[in-house]
Amino acid sequence: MTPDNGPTPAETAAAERTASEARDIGGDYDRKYGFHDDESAYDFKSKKGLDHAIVEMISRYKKEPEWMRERRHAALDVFLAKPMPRWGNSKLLDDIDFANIHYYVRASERQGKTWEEVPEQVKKTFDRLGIPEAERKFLAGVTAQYESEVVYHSIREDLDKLGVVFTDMDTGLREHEEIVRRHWGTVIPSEDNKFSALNTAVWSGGSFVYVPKGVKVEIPLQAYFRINTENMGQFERTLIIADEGSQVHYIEGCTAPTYSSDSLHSAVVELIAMPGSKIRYTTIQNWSKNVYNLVTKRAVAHAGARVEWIDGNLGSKLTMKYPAVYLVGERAHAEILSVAFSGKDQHQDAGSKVVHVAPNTTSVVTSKSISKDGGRGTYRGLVKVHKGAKGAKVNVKCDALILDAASRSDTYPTMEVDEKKVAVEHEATVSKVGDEQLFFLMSRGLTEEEATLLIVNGFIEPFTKELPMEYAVELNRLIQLEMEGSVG
Amino acid sequence: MSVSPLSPLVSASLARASGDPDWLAAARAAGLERYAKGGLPSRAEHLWRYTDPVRLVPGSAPSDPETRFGDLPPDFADGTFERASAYAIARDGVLLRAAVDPLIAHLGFLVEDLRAAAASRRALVEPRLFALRDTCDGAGGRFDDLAAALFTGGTFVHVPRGVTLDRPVRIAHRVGGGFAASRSLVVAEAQCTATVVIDLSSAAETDAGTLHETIEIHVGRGAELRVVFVQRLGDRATHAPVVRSRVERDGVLDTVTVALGGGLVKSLQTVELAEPGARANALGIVFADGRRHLDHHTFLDHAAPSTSSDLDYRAAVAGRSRSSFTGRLRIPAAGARSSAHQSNRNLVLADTARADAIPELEILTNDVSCSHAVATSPIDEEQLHFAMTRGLSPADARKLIVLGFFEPALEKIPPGMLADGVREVLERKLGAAS
Repeated sequence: MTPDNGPTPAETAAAERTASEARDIGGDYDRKYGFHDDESAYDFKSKKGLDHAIVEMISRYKKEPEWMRERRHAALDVFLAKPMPRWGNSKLLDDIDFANIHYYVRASERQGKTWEEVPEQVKKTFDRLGIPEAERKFLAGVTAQYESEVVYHSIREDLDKLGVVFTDMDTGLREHEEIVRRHWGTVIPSEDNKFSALNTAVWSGGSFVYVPKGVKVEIPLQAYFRINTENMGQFERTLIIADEGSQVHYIEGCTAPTYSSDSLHSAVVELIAMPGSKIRYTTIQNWSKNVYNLVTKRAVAHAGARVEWIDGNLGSKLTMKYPAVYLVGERAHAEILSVAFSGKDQHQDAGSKVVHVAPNTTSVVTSKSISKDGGRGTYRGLVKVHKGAKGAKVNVKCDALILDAASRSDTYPTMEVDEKKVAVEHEATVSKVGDEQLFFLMSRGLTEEEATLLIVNGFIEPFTKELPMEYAVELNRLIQLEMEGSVG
Repeated sequence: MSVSPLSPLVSASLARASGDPDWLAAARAAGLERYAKGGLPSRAEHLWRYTDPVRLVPGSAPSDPETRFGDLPPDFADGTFERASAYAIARDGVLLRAAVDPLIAHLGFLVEDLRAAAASRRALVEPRLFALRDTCDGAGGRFDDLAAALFTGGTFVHVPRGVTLDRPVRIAHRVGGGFAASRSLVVAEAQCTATVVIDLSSAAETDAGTLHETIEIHVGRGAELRVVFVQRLGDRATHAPVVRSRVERDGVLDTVTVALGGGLVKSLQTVELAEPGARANALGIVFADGRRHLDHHTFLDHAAPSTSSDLDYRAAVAGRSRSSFTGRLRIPAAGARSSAHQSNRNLVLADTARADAIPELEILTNDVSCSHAVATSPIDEEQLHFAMTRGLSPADARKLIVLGFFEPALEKIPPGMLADGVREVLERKLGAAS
């Protein structure tokens, strides 16, 4: 202890301020995000459980075309017939009680066209999530999913002029039925897995994006999803089509109130990148830690197209999510960049799939995972190179950081190569925070906690630098929050 | 899924047991019961992703073993111990003959028929035989149980405490066209040093036999054991080996696995690093051509602190063949301060060949150093170009590069022990494949 080098009173005050701010990030979670609305105000809420009658009711209520109604029923049969997957975290999966879930909840009858028209109670929710601020920041459009339906969206006029369609899926189905019918379910058929079948049967909301030929959308399209009612599943369905030579960046982010009993989130996201187009899809999920997040996300990339999944997983109890890209056209490129943070009682079972079908296709997968307080981070990936995909190049890199002895990291990569002229590489490392790195930073005057946080932030830097500014800031604050008390 | 005819297996197991001591007969019965009760392994597990276990279920009881080996390998025929400290020859899982170099017989090391040893050396055999069944989660235990119930014979190798064998123990095993089940036990007591080379081949190239074999390896404290497996079965043979090892404090197990033949091979190797300081080095080379289906699984369990492992499996696939490597590496909470590295490289020599890899890591604690890497590619054009500018024909350049790819493992085969034979086989196969 050297008193003459001690902090000045001003420095101490500043440090205390920072510390109290840092505490605030987590301390007010309930106040900021964990509020409940008065559920009796809801217009419509299906009874718990799932059968053909519920599916029929959802479809009739939405006044859907006949083909969609039939697909829902067919998908329900697939869902009921398919057994629960026997891989992954079977113990948690088997705990899901499908009979104890509301499959459809609608917050209000009508969609708000402008912010002023949105019901006051809904507005309050969005205020807390910072949606109007986001709009002020020149965001392209806000499609906020409140409960199972989109209640508010706005699209900037210049997007309209370009012919870009950015709407909720239900409206998309009504107003662009031809496009939807041609593409919907072609990337992820309901038979794909048990949860894609469930989603197809009871889907509601989600986004529909169509970018016409050659149009480059300069600003990211954003959507916020919220789970609000206890025991309510969210089954949004997103379809993004980037026509030839177009470009679009779509951002989906989530926060959820903290509830005591389990909630199920099972989305299906389909991306279609036509020749020469580019789609970037950014997600940061921060579901509260009782949510099951079982998501199917898949893209098809045609010749010369580029698909990028930027995928952050912080929340939920169990996440199973493997963003996929099928490279079906020559010189298509896939980029999957993900980060997962598993804290206490969390299992982030995330990964990626790249399927090379066409020649000279390339893919790069970078995965970063951090486990702490007994959390479990799993990378599960597939690289498949089909016969004929000559000249394919694949590079997969997984790094895991384990912050304490109770936590766990798994890596389950699968590589199937059916073609000779390819280059497939996979590398993974698992480590703790390096003693030498800690020593170096602490010798420069940082506390162990600060040094650890700095190292963790540096570890996920390749991810954060791909995020828009406000998301990068939010992510760093969330990581800081998760890291609190990690040294001691 | 049901298991096809069980009753012939029951009577075969009883018949085998008739000559065995009571404890072994009881173990056989227990093995049969577990085999009959357990379902087939789940194909949802990566271990069985690429090979249908149904293909390994025997349709009948083991056939009666041949009692003639056929032509002996040259270094056996001349009857000298110049290059080996002991020889053993086995046919269809049964040890026909074994001989220890008389000059070092006083060291007390044993190379014997396992069933004879079970009767005459119970104190050495009973505590170790079947002892490793449940290590490494009992992975693949079902076929291990089958071999426990039915094994017709096998080799018992015992190297006493502190003994150093300067030349390897060499075992030649030949199988015919029937179904054979064998079981071997290798015990390296504390502080000893030894090498065992097991050379497996088909009696005739066209023999379509099936061999289920389990080999249990115990490496004592501070012992250093190297085991070399050379498999050059015929194109129609089926081979389902289960090799289970356990390494005690500061012991080192080196394995070199060479797979060149067989129509269908499903190999499982597990190593439990049971005490601090234990180490395992595993090298594998797989050359698949024709229509071979070669599936190799490894499971390294760092069950104690400060253990280390290094695994390097390399496969070259040609023709219409397929090679699968699934490797599991686990560091449980008890394995703090362990270091584990795993790599799998695949060279694809033909458009019609296929290489699959699943290297898994399960790390349950933080103070570790752990990594794995996989690479799959054709022969590097630049290397090929370089060799050709030095005057090599394209075919010779390819041969040179593939042999160089395998050389790190070939170097570990003791001098004069099959390494040249393996190189020759590889050259011949490469000549045919290019």
